[in-house]
Amino acid sequence: MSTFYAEWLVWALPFIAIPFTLLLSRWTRVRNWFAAAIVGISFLLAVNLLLQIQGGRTITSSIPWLSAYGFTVTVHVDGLAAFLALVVNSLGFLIVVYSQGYMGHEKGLPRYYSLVLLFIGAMTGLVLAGNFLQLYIFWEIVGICSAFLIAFWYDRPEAVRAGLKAFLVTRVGDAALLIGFVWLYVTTHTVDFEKLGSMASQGLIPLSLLTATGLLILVGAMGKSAQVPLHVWLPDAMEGPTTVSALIHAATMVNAGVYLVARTYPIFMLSQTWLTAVGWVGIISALLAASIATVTMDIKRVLAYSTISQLGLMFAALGTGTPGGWFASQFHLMSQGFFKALGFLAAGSIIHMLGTRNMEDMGGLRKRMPITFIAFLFSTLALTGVPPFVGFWSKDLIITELSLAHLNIQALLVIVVSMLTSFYMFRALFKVFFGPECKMAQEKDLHESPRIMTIPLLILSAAVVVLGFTEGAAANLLGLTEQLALELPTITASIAAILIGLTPSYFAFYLLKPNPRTFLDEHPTLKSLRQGMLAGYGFDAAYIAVFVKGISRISNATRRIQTGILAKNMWPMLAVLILLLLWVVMNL
Amino acid sequence: MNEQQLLQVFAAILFVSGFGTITSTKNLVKMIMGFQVMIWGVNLALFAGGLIDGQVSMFATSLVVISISIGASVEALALSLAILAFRRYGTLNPWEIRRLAH
Repeated sequence: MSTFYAEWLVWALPFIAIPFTLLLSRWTRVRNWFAAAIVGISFLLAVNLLLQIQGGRTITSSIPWLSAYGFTVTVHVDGLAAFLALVVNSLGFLIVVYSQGYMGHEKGLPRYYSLVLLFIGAMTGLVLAGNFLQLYIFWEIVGICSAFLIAFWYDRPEAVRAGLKAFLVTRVGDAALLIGFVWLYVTTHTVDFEKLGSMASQGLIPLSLLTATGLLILVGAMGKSAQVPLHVWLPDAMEGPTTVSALIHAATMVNAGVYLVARTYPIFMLSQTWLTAVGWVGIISALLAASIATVTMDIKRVLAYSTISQLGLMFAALGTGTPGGWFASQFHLMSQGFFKALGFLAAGSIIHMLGTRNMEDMGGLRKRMPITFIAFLFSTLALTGVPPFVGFWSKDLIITELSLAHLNIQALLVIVVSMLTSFYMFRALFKVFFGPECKMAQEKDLHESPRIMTIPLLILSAAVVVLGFTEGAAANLLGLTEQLALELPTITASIAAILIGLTPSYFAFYLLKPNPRTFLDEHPTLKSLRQGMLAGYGFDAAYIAVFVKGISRISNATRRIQTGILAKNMWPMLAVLILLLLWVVMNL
Repeated sequence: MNEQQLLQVFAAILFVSGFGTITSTKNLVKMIMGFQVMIWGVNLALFAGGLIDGQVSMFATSLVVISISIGASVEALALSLAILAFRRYGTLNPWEIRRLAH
């Protein structure tokens, strides 16, 4: 146990604060600042944890719970957990402060703040969990918060639909995760990460079981981290408030999948099949999502596809199976969290003032919104990986580690993703901030967002410049012993990739030579390719055809056994329950 | 069969009989009672899981207490909905409240 019980309070405090935010709802300003202060204290506690584990120490503190089944409530703080707790709470704090301006005039704020606090507490609990069962409980809480916050504006049908879709699609992954760890528990009688890790390294768990359960848990991670083919919920999740998109769907919750793979790395890394699957899932997602981002017109959807693509790069780095690759993925996770949150908050600042998400209606905003412009520019530079921004260090590390692991095809594909990234981010930048000033800006006499929103933007802008230089410290914290080196060939390749992506973007969207619209009319193949990309390569259409229509066909076929009386429909379930009970009693 | 197993079996019996009540009654209030019996079963199972060598785990017990209070508030909400349904339709038989079925 440590001083102040920091490892417990850091996630329990937001939970405890929820009823108080509801009670304080009459005094809105007090309530808003109370919520921000609570997340601020959690952030300080996370800093305290980080200081306590300096020098490779870990804190493990556990309370017996369902002892009969060997379950405990365990908080395990090591470098990885403390690092992520810090990322979650620092971004959470900035975003809650920003919310005061962005969400200021909305209705339903008691619901908003209590869900955000519930989310931050659960996400911190998730990264500090010492076993699968506990992680799963927090995993479900963050999923629920995400669905409710996407559907925050419940009077908008598309928002409700998007919330439901996110819930259903991630459910597929969650079910796989549940089956995976229960299967492990049934054979090994433990859910503890450390015990499972040491059992796996001693060869006490058969390799086939490791591969099977590892793949199931990977499906769970893919659902949460929106990897192909379970990515369809994330672009639609942009129907929620932008603060929610920044907090949950860019900076923290979508990282839970990557974190889960990193946390269970010592357990499953012996299985080569698992490692290959992790790597390729990432590469395919990164490529598909980056290509769709090049054509999307909705500024938030561009950032959403970009998130899927960056998460894919993290999975690709994890696929190397080396400590260096593992570290690269976690460093990129942190880096992505910061520059993507910055990108979303800058986009939010534009949407807040302009009232649209369509980039066709934007243009020439850089003079009227200079701080937002700088923030979006910094986010773009960090995301594309321009030195010395944080994205440069983390993305280069991924390419270096892939080539060190002799995964040359993957490294090459990551460079292709880099080119696409540079193309779509500069496209967004040019479309929104350069060119002739848009009509809306003149009509509304647009000006910069209030200070409560621009200060978090400035802090994050500074962070994406500074954080790149913390690579060595982060490597120490996460216990990486090998030396990290930047290699000239990879630096050259990644800078060349940025320039190759930037050039067409500059000509088409800055100089408008050739004009993108007429250019597409002249090239019908490109136009049809663009249509395919805009339809998301038909994933949604396929799911509707197979699952939605398929299930309604099955239900129509079996209409006759559906009496319409719930109690009668439940009799078969009752029969199964009684049989199960009898079986249990017989076996005692 | 030791004490713990006895509790667990009893919890399972509570759960199944609560479920049986829900499926066999035509009275909303009795359904809610059946639901509550199911929750008792779950709480008892959680409590029994926290026992080891006859010792009670404080943490497991406190979670059960929280679960009981949540169960009580859910039941209160369900009962208030039942009252609303009774006022609106004049019956507590859900088979007669079939507006959604048509």
